[in-house]
Amino acid sequence: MWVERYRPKSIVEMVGNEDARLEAYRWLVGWRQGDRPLLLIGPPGTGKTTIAKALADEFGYELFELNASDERTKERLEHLIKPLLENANIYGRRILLFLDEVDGLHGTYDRGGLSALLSLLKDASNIPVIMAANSDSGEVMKELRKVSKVVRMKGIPPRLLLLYLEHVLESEGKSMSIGDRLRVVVECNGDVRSMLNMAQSLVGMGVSGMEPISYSTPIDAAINSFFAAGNMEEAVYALSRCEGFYTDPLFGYDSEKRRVDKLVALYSSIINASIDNDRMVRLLEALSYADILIARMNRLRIWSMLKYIDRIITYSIFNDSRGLSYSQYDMPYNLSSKAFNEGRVLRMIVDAIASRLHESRHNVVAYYMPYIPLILGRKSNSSSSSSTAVRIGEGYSITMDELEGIAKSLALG
Amino acid sequence: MIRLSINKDFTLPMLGKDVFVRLMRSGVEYDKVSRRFRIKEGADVASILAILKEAVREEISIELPCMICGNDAGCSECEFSSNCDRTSVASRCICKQCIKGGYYGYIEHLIPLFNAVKSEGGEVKQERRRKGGRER
Repeated sequence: MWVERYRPKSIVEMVGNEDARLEAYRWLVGWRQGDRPLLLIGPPGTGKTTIAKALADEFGYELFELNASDERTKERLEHLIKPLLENANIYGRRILLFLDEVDGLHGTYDRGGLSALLSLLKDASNIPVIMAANSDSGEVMKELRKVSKVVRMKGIPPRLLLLYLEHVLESEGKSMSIGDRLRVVVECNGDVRSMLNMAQSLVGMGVSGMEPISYSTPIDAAINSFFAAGNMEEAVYALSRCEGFYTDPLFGYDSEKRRVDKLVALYSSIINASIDNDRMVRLLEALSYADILIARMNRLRIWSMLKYIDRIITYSIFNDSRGLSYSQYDMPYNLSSKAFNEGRVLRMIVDAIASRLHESRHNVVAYYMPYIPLILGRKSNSSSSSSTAVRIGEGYSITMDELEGIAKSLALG
Repeated sequence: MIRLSINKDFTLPMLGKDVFVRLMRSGVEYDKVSRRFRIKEGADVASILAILKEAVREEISIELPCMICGNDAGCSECEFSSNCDRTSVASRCICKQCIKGGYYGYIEHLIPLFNAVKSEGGEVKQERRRKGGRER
């Protein structure tokens, strides 16, 4: 990978963020016991990890790296870092501790991680510590900013990116049309890593200068191209060009995200397809494995693995998914209409009860609704069930149709 | 159109106390003697731009300095001018003349800067040692 091959070995060899680099360099040059840790904040691909690695190399430190894919609970952090701090001086090793993606400390998976990290940073005053974060917002960052020397990094200006791209192309002995070079630079949005990946894939695929390199095929067109692809490579290509992504349900699964979730798009297309059960089972099983994989990658934040997902999905569902077409509804029509109708009746009933009892709809659903089916269910065996239902209905100003609706929807009718 | 250069002094018309305070809070410095403004390193350029746009009701263009020669990088004539959000990229770029020196020309210019920091740091450390500070 060009990204690794051309990762600058020293801090001078990087491009962009000169002031931030000088600041980081100054911090380590003048570092002494008790100094604050360095906190690098900036968007992906601006060189935070490279700075840590280059500084460690240049000043003869052994880099001890802990990134987001490691579990960072209180116990784990103490288990990993404490011995390091206690023994740092025993063997005369100079250690630089690098904590990557500290903004991603997760409340559930990394429980106690923040407080443990803050207390370890106090103890770690005998070794230099560099932390890196993509985002500046949130409680974790607020606390970390207080105890660190903050250096902010920004996206690399396009001209400097072009300068670096030309250097890499020259070193590789590869060529790209000027149009492609400009478009790669523009599309990577100041992210060197993304620029090199894009350039390498363009050079590797031999894509012509006229072909658009934008990853912006609308999700419906991309999924349809995937289903219509003649071979696996074409299908992988269709998925990789899709404007959608793989979302992480943990961090909010709203309708906007679902709309551009590639996995949901494939799922909704499969369940709406007129295919036999065995084929559907195979397809859904393959998708569910991919879903588990994506969730694990998201949870452990192993973003580098996400690039294999398109290929994994394609290889697992390619044969069974030929001839399908895109559908955006994640529930088959016969089920969704039933759910919609029942939901409408239930909402009407909740509204009626809420208005009659001067209660909020939330309270009606939480405290009153559970008794309605019980009342209806108990009375349904007796001869007076219908008159009881009418009386209940009158009491709550609910019509008979609505009562029947709720009884039916709760399978008591 | 008002052209603001990052890391260079500039003047502004009288904008009132409120705007002045907001600009100072966003990372603009004011030199009372020369009566000129300067955007501090690492300042939130986007919010400075928003404050100024609201106050002067004029188009404002940001000009990045060239890392090598220190002159304006020529953002208004740059081939990327419509795609480069100068409020969110790093505060230095490279001008059309200096880019001709290529990648090695660029890093050659940086080497003395880093070396200066290194020797400066060494002196600071020696000073600290003399004062009896703890040192690894």
